[in-house]
Amino acid sequence: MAETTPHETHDAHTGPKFPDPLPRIPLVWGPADYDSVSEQISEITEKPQPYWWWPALLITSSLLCGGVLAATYLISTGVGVWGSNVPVAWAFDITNFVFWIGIGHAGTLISAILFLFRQKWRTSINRFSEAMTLFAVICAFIYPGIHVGRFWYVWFSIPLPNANHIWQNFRSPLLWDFFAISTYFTISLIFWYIGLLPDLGTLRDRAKSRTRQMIFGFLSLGWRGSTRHWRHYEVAYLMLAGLSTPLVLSVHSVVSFDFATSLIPGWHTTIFPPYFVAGAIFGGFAMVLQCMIPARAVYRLENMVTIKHIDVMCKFILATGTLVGYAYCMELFIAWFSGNPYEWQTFKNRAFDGDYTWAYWVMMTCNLFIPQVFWIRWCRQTPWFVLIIVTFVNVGMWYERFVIIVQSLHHDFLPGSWGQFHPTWVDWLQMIGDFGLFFTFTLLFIRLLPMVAIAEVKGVLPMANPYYSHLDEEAAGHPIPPSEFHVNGSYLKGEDGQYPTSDHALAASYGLPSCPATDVKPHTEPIPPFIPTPGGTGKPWGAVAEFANGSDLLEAAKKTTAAGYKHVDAWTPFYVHGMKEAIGRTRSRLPLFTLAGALTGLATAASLQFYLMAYYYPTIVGGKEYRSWEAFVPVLFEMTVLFAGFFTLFSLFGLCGLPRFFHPLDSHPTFGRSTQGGFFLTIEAQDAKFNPDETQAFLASLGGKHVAVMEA
Amino acid sequence: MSSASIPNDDTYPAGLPDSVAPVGDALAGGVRILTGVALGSGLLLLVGLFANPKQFYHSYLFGYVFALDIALGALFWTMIHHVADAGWSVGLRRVFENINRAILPLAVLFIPVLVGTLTGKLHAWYSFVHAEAPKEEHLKHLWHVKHVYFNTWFFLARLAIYFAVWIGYSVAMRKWSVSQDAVGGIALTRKMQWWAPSGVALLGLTSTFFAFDILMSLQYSWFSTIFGVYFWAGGIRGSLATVVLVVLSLRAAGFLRNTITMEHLHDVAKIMFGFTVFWAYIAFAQYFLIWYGNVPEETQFYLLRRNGSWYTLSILLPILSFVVPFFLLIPRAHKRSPFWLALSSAWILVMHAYDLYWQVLPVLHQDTVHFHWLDVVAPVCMFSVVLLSATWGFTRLPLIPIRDARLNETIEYENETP
Repeated sequence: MAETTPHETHDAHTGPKFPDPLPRIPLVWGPADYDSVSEQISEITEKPQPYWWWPALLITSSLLCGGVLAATYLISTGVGVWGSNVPVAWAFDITNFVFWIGIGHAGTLISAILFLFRQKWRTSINRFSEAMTLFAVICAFIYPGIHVGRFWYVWFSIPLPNANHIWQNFRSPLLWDFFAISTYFTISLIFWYIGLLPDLGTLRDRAKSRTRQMIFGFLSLGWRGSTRHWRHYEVAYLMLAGLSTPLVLSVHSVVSFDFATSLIPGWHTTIFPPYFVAGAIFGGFAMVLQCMIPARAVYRLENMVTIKHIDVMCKFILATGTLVGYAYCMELFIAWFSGNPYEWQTFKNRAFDGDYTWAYWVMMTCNLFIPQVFWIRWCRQTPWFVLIIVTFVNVGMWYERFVIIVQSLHHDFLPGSWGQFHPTWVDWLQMIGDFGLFFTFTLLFIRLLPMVAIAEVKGVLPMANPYYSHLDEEAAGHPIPPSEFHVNGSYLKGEDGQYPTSDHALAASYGLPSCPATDVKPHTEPIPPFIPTPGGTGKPWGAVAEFANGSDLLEAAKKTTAAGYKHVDAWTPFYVHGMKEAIGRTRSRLPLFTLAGALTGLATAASLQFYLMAYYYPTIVGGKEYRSWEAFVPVLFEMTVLFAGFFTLFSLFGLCGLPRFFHPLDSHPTFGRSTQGGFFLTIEAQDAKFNPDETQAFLASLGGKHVAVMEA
Repeated sequence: MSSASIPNDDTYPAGLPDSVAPVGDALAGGVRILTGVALGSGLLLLVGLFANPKQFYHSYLFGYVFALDIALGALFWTMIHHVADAGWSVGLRRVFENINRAILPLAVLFIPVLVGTLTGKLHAWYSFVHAEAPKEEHLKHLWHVKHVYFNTWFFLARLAIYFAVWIGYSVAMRKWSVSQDAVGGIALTRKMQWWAPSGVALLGLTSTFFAFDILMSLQYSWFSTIFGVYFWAGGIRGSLATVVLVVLSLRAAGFLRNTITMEHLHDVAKIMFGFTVFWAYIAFAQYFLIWYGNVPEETQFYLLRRNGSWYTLSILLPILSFVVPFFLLIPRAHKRSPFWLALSSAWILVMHAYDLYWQVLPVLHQDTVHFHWLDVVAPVCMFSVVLLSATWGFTRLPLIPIRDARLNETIEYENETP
């Protein structure tokens, strides 16, 4: 490969300019175009499920029923049915709680942090991991509810005016937890839903039955892929990613405060916040792989969730596992180095001579030692082997929480109060029930919603690059004639009917196994001929034309605005870079709304906490002053993010004019393809230059097909 | 060291938007000024050593850690570039490589710190562990632990390991990068990518223990498990600020104008913004948990920084070091404007010094702030050493890795923002 001929061309977009480039592995392997991506993912929700799906659902929902039974028994009888006792007041309940909260973190890391770092490989897995985040947070949220015993008083954690004039203690980490987790769930849900919008539109436009059309039509809010919407949408997505990134750090930090603000040896240490965050991402990635590896095999997603994806995720597991190991070592070292006998007693007991030493070494082995195999390439690139390793990681991360909670509590300051923990059958049933809940939701999600972000994957296909065809010409060594417009909608095949691809050879050059061919066929349904709508209003809404691909549309849009048209819009299945400038728009002002939301949230949280804790019912907690601000920071932050997220969501809807369930363009016979593989340009009738005949002729002269004037 | 492998003019790949030949004598004026500053301030430091030894050692440590943190941060960024298989930052990597070159002179300049420690003028633990075992019950355990850990030979061996790791990775990474300038190909890229992950891990571990040994142990009965991360977070931010300032100066002098553009600097600014928040997060986590727990052996760190006017400095630290740069860097226009970017970076750099000053000097002047001229001279001297080392590279090596396998991705890079 080092002997590649140097390219000496000077146009940035026509291929490598400097010698010996190291090619990037494509994110989607094998033949794929916009239609095949839509088809491959949507089909999973449209066709009947594989035979194993129903038995699997039966098993997971039985486990879930077990969990419901355990919770019902607990609530009707009391927390005494658990094995928790006086020194070990928190055991399986909070272990499970922290475990599940942690699982959720990988979803946000993949969807938000990797987005900010422009790691485009995230597009194949972000939807799945975001869904996992939501389900994991639901699993976790059960415990703050039921572990208090009196389940019906849970609403006391919400700051509502009430007849008792009793308010929450805003200096309590448990209350911060409530704020952190509900904010996390809400923002993750918003983020997930905004990401789903274009794909829900795809499902709506593919729907054959009236019911599916209604459901997805309602859920997609009338998303049609307008560039005027995309420009707000992309900024809103960026804002939410920016909000979620500190949020994900804060959530597990707040969970760590539950422990670290106390004085229990083994709990009270300053590294807890980043240590918990690293551990959460570690465990979360393991769970994503645990679910994704079987799913990609069953649903033949190897071309989208490639070996390269698994490889990179294993590297993340290695990195975060090592970080967690660093934190274990720091704890152990400082316990000794501090010269604090209590701290050292706890750690000596934990690691060397206590009753839970076995659990400590299970944790060390699974989390620090075993993931080190991922230094070896074969271990990262062999799915069945990865599956085994991530199972160890999940076990190890559960034990980490068990060690922190149970071991620290069972041997505290006074030998007289030392004790042991023995789980009861209710503990076990509750824990297994969580897995039932999680996997039941996961199975339903796979069945009902697209598990890969269709629009985002389209955006990372090589052909999504507006200069793709030129790259092709360079590779072919001769100019390729403009793509013919096929009625069956497959535009980008070469003359021999094959997709131009060298991905397999490229993958092989990296020592990667080439992917198995998918059995997905491009959309072949013929587009019906255009028939003008009878009985319309008679007034024109505007003219529409379909173009073969993104680069043609981009050219056409530029020419249209250059010709003096102002009310121009482009409709695309994914956000085409440069399109908003081409239709004469600028960067969205949506961030101002986000900022306004943030400031509103900050002001609300500040006045709420200071008023309640310092003036309305001044309370001294933990010897802190009435107005000490430190303990208010977690809730200040959470409410800032919560309000900013809501403002972002609603300003997106407001600026885009969504929901809009009906649109004049809907009666265009091929316009439904705008959410799959079609590219459309419209010029509205309110444009001063608009003239039905001239505008139609103009659009046809740009190469547009299916040109029509739609009635308002 | 590597002058033999410098390519001739005709070996530069065609199509580069700028001349990336070594700057040669073009920066001679700047080099003269920097050398003058370094020598002048070094001389003043020598005066300080005789005039006020205790003050000298503390100020020197402050200045030294300020510069070392920046050099280590630059080493971190060099290696993380390879770990992430990044493409956009290829042009910047040479700047990081040139800055982390300062680790070599800084290894020599560590000697005064060592002298200060081993003569008992710097670290209070020296006299504690070299005294007889205390009779008081509460000190016995402490003494036994510190006695083992701060055993002189063990202490020296640890420091030798830290510097060996840093110098080893810094020299190796730069050597391979420079030889790639001559031979090209992807074999060296692969080699750097193979070694970088272990380098990041070892750098994390060694700089943590360096922070424990040299900074945290200034109050030897104090401890904080997060302290290594805190030290690291500061250095990351400081080195990014230094890189932005160096690149902006090079651009102002007419170099690399079309190679490292505002598109690249916009990304650096975003990362700097991110690490400003990260620093605040770590600083707050440490303060908050100690504040909430309120245990004497932990609160001593913050109590010391509440005496006299140290209290004002403590309150201003989060505001000046987090709130101000947060709002300076949040508008997109600021991240893309050379003026605002220079201002923000200079501010962050000064704040990095402020943070370290606040960590080191209260140990010497426990009652209140006693500002000494050495507190300015020491960081200026050390920072000029960093800049001189970087300039050494600019004058002798191509300004970017000219045969990097990812050069295509960094030239004419466009920042993809919606």
